[in-house]
Amino acid sequence: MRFLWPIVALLALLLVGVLPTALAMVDALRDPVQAWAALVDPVLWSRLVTTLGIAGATLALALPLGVMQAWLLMRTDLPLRRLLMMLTPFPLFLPPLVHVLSWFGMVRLGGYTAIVLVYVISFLPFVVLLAARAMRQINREQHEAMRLAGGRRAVVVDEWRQAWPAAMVGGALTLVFVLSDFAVADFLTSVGPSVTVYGDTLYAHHLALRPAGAAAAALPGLVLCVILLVWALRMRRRLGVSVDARFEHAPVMRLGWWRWPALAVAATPVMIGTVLPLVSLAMQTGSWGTLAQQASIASERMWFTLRIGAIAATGMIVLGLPLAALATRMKRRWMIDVLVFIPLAIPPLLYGIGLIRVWNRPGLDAVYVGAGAVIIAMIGRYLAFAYLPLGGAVERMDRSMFESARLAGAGVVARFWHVLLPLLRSPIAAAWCVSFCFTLRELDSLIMLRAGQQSLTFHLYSSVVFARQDEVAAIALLLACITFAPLLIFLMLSNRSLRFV
Amino acid sequence: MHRTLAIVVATVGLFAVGCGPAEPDNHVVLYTSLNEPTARAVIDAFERETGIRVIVQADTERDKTVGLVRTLIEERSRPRADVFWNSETANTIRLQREGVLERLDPPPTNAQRIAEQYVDPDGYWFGLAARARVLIVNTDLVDEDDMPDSMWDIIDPKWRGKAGIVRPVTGTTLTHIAALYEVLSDDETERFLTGVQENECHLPPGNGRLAQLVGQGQIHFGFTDTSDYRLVRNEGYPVTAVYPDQDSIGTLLIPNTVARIAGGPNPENARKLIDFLLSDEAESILAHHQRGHIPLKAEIDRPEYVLVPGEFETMSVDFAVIGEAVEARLQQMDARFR
Amino acid sequence: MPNAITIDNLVAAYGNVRAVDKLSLHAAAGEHVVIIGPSGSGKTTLLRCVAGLHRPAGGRIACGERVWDDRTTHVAPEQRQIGMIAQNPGLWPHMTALQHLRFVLRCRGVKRSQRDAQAREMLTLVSMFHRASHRPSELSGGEAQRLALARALIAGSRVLLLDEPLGQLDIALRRELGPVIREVAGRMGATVLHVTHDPADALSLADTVVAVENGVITQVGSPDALRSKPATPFVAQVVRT
Repeated sequence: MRFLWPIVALLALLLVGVLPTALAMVDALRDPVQAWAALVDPVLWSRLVTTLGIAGATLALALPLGVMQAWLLMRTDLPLRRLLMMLTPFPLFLPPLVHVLSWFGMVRLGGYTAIVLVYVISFLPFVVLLAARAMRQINREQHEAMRLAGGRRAVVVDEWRQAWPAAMVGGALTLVFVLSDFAVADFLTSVGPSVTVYGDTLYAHHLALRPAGAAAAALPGLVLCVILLVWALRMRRRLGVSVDARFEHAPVMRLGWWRWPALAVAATPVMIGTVLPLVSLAMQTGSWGTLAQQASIASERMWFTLRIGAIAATGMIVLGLPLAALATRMKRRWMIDVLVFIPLAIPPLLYGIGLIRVWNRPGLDAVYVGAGAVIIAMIGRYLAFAYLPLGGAVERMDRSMFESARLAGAGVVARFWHVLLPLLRSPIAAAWCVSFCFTLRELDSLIMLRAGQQSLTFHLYSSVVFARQDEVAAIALLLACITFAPLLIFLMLSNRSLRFV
Repeated sequence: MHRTLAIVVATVGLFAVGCGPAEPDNHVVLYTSLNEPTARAVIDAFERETGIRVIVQADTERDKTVGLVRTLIEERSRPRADVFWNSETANTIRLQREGVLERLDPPPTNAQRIAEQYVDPDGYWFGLAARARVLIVNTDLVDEDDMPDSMWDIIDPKWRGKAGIVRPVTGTTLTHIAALYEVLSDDETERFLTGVQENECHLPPGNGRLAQLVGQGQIHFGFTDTSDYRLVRNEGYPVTAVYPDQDSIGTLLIPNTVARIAGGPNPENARKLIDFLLSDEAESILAHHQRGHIPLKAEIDRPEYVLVPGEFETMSVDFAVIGEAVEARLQQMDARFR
Repeated sequence: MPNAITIDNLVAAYGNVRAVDKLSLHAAAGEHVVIIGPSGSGKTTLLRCVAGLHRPAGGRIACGERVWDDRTTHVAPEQRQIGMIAQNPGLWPHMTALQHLRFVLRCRGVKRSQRDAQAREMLTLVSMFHRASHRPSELSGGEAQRLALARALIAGSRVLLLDEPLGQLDIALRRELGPVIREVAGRMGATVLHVTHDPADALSLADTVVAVENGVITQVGSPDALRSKPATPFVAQVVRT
């Protein structure tokens, strides 16, 4: 019984995440000559270097900015900090291209600067949310000891240092998304010297029907992302913060007069990343009539998207929780990390190919051509976003709480229901919201699945060229609304900022 | 323990509810690289006339058929699609080579009136509703007297930094370059490509984007498809389309293509759908569509602005040959335009 | 005897460090054994082994006729029916004091109708009745300790493991609760292994005192025996204060 859940979860993970990935990557072995040629192609490496340069510049901005933002929002008495924290995650859930379409296109920026800026705006929330979570773990005793030892300055330095590994996890997630994207670079360098990135090469291999090349070319990015993620998680775990029944939060720092300039600083990314796109989309939509009209046209898709997203998010929790619990018990927990992260780090097109290979079988048609495959794809791809917060929460729980439950005679089931689950209520709700929102963002792997076409995201993308600008804006706005709805409900009910990890 | 069991049951139940019913009884499955709203215009008519439900798996502009083609190849051992309707020729020919397509013997009745050039001699695929490769020109920025009328204008130093062509690694632009290699000499084509690089041409990722940039005046003129030109034109931008090289090689016309998938689950309905797509009615619907597709058959009802072969000189190409060459060209172009 | 604790040649290690080294000890049923020793001498590890929370590297632990740990056997902590107060009591943040006790009773199979009354009775015994509906974060250090004590005692266990159970309490409360522990344990007939730093506890509560230094036992005897003939400087120092 003790190992039943984790084993079931592990098998499910293998089925929805690892197996498709493996079956897609095996192409590289089928034609080693082509794979090798792709791997030693200097174009691949030069584009990888370009992309890493872009990612590096993005992180060079996003990491310090994100940690500072997190510090201002979590560790100071900044006015409106709760509201700002609530608005922080939104940019993540819109595909970067939507940011570009929503307002960036108007500010005729191009080239590397524009690419980096779009990425910073899109992915800054990863860093902010994770760093904020780390800063929430700072307890009163630690804070007071630091204050006595070195004054306010030492407190600030220590708090930043504590948030750094978590921020790096955010950085690694950013890298995953930057490496698989090429639409932003393509779009923003349409005019003037064009910038080609790593994603372009992967795409070119698919375009040329070189499956071995496509799989091999994806390998460097995959390895890089997974190593960085696992390393960052390890760093974070080494901090080894644990929270028990008597945990007390450290008091926030009083900024005094500096609160107001600090507010301006902290509000800027939120304005650019969240408020501006929404306002811009609303303005482009123009009237309630257009919005209502598009809502009625797309009502079936909206319902489908909500339903599928909710089922997938629930599936991610059901799977992520035992995996997180298993990982905390394991010595080599990085192995679970790797298994969970691989489907996220692999280019989505390859993941889609793997899904076809796993599920296009006699007797599985109801899953394969129905919504089942879409749910599986979402769970497989984005499980990491349930696993990360749940894993973080499980790890931080003081072991003594479970030991005392065991001594009280509570078996594994009773401990799960009466100790673990009630304590995880908030992280589970947060993980559910985050997972749900990420499912709405997914397009690439769904494009290969029939039922994926019923999603609102697909509708948005197929309308981008075809429909009128105001209609596209209205659809994007609808997507934004159903993305934000569960988040807002959760944040309002729990009256606290998103506990991301 | 009971609760654990309940959770398992609930999860499985939830998943089952999510899956829902898969396919209706009388249906046909269409994979199309057109975006769904465009395809729908024709499919709706087909469904009305035959009562056969068409299940569509379409593409978005962003994906440029890659996902769809890979899906078809992956499903080769157990095909789930019946018909492939492609917005150009190259990928159809590659799928034919990969053994994904099936010859239609006898050919569909409606294929008889289509010009030879747009039908596969072996009967694997059939052309319809074409797009022409035109120069879209911003009329605010370019004077009437200065109007470019040839592909060579793109590399004219007079237009340095002002002209554009889509980065030729995908879609109709790649087919276009492959066609140039066939129609011109290799040297001439290379000269053109070198010119594109040296003349600081803009290289947007897609024809829609290029047309938009010309409309917005960020680029003076460039190559695009008539369908993308029509969209920008319909939005009210100051643009016009020039059919280039009328005195020399002619303007390239790239048809949509349809083909039956080998071993598809509904072969009879597939034939019916293909026959309908090749009908005068379908061509007319697509011509009247806002993208203004060019009918390949004579005397099809169409808006005046949709010019048909005969009203302009078309480039004479063998699509089968181009289809064969396209992969090598892609590799070449990807290396050249890095 | 059903609840006598017998420990033979117990070895417990953390990596390469041996915390307990071939330690043997017998606590008769109902006996109150106090274990004293300097910090880091392996006292806590010894208790964790008996509780089943730390798996021994060697030796044997048995309760009455039943073997809890040997080379082939390991009985899970939840099946040992032990009451324990650890240094970190591991209270559950989401439960009130009353819910803590009710949960233990539930785990031990007490009927639902009886749980509430028993829980309230125990809270009264540890002077916590007025805090019944408070969560751990709302309790003071001493109150939390008393809740942990109540939780350990309520299960009606035949074996009690106490690791500094009164450590965080003020003198007055210690004097008050020390006898409570002894009385409740006596009423249940429980065998008690009691780790403490406080010589007063050791000498007043114990039937037998065991001195542990560097993972081995250096002296075993009644409080009087230790007082009259301390075997090591450490023991001498303890009995002198």
